Amino acid sequence: MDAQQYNNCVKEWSDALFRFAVKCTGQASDAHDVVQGAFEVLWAKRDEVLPEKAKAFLFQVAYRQSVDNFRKRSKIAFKDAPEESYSPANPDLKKVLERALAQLDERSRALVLLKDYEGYSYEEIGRITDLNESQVKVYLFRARKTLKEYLVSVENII
Amino acid sequence: MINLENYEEYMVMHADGELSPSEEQELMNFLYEHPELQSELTAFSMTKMIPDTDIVFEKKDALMQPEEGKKVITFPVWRKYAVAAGVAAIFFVSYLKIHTGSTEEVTTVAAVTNPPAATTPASPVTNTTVNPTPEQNANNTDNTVPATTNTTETQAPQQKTMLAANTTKPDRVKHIDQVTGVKNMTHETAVAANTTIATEQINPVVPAEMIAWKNQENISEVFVTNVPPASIYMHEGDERGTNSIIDKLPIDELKKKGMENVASAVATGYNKVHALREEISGSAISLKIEKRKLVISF
Repeated sequence: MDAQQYNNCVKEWSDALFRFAVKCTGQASDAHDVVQGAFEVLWAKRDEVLPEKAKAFLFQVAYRQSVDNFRKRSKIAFKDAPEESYSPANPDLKKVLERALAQLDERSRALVLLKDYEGYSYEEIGRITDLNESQVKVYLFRARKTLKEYLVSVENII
Repeated sequence: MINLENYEEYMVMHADGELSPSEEQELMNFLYEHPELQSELTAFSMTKMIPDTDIVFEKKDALMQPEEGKKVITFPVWRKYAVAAGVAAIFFVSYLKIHTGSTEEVTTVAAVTNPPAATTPASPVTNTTVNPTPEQNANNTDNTVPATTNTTETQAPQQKTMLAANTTKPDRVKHIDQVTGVKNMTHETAVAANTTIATEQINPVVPAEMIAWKNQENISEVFVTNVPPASIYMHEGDERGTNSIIDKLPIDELKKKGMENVASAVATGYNKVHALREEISGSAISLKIEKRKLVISF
C-alpha cells in the first residue's frame, strides 16, 4: 500500500471507524485515540496490508484497542450514562436502541456494531475479532435477544 | 429444521441476513404455521442498529501522509514569518507608492497652476480699461489703433508668456479643487493672478494717458488690492514655513521646497514686471510683453 492508497483509506474509512470506536468506548476522546492509533498501525504496516484488506485491518486494530484497552472505561461511561435518552413521551427508536446497546458487554456491542454498521458477515467478524464463526453467531444471538427484550419491555411501557 | 426450540436462532440470522434462500423459505413456512411468532421476528429485526452519520472524524488531515509525486513545501516557523513580513512590506510599499504618486501629481499641478490661466478676466478691470473717457479716446486714437491690432495678434502668445509657461486649463484647476486640500490656495491664487493678467491682456500697449487715468481711477485699486503673489506663495513677512500655505500642505518637505522655489521665481518675475510698470506709468511710454519680447510703444 502506498501513501495515496493509505490516504484514500483515511478519507473512506476514518468516519466509519470513528463511529464504531465512539459506540464501543462511549467516549469521543477515546474514540479519537483509537482511530489515530489504528491508522498509525496501518501506516507502519502498509507494506504488509493489501488495500482491499485495509478496512478489515483498521477495524481489527480498533476493535482490539476499544475492547481491550477501553473496556473498563467504557463500562463506567455507559453505566454512568443518564437514562434521559428515552422517555415514554419521546419513544425515539434510535435512542432506545442506543440505550439497549449500552446493556451489552463490550465484545457483544462491538460485534453488533460490526454487523449492523459495517455489514460484515459472521465469517468476516470472526476474522476481525479473532473469534470463530460459531462464537460470533452465539455472541450475536445473545446480543440480539438482549436488545429485543429491552425493546419489548419499552414497547410494553408504551 | 426449524422448530419451537431453535426458531429464535433463525430469526436472529434472518435479521443479520445470514440465512440462505432455502433457510429463509423454511423460516417463512414455519411462521406460516406459527403466526403468533411473527411479532418476535419483527422485534428481532428492530434490533438492527442504524449508523449515526452525524458522527464524523474531523481531523482527517492529521492522519494524511505526503504522497509521492506531490511536492510538499514545508517552511520552518521563522521562514513563514519572513514570508509574511515580505508580503506585508510589498503591500506597504505599494500603498506608499500610490499615495506618494498622487501627491506628486497634485504638487506638480499646483505648482504649474500658481500663475493660473487667464480665462475670465475680472470684470471691473475690463470695464475700466475698455471704456476710457471720451477725451482719452480722442487723444489716444493714434496709439490705440495699433495697440488694438497688437492686442488681437498677440493676445494668445502673450497669455502664454504671462503664464510663465503655464499650460494649465481651468478644468484642470477645478480638478485640483476636487482632489486636494490645496484647493483654496490654488483657487485664490488663480483669481488674484487672473485679475492682474486680465489687465495685461486687454491693454497690451497702454498709452501713457490711459495709464495715468488708471492710476487715478480704480485700476490703481486693482494693483493695490491685488494680493502680491509672493505673499500668496510664501508669506515673506513670516518666518519661512511657519504660516505659509505651502507648509500646511500634506506633502513632504522636499516637495514643499520645490513648490516654494517655483512660487518664488514666479513671484519675483511678477514683481519685476509690476515695478517696471509702476515706473513707466507716469511717462508716455507704453509697455507690452509679447512672447519673449518686451515691446515698448511711445
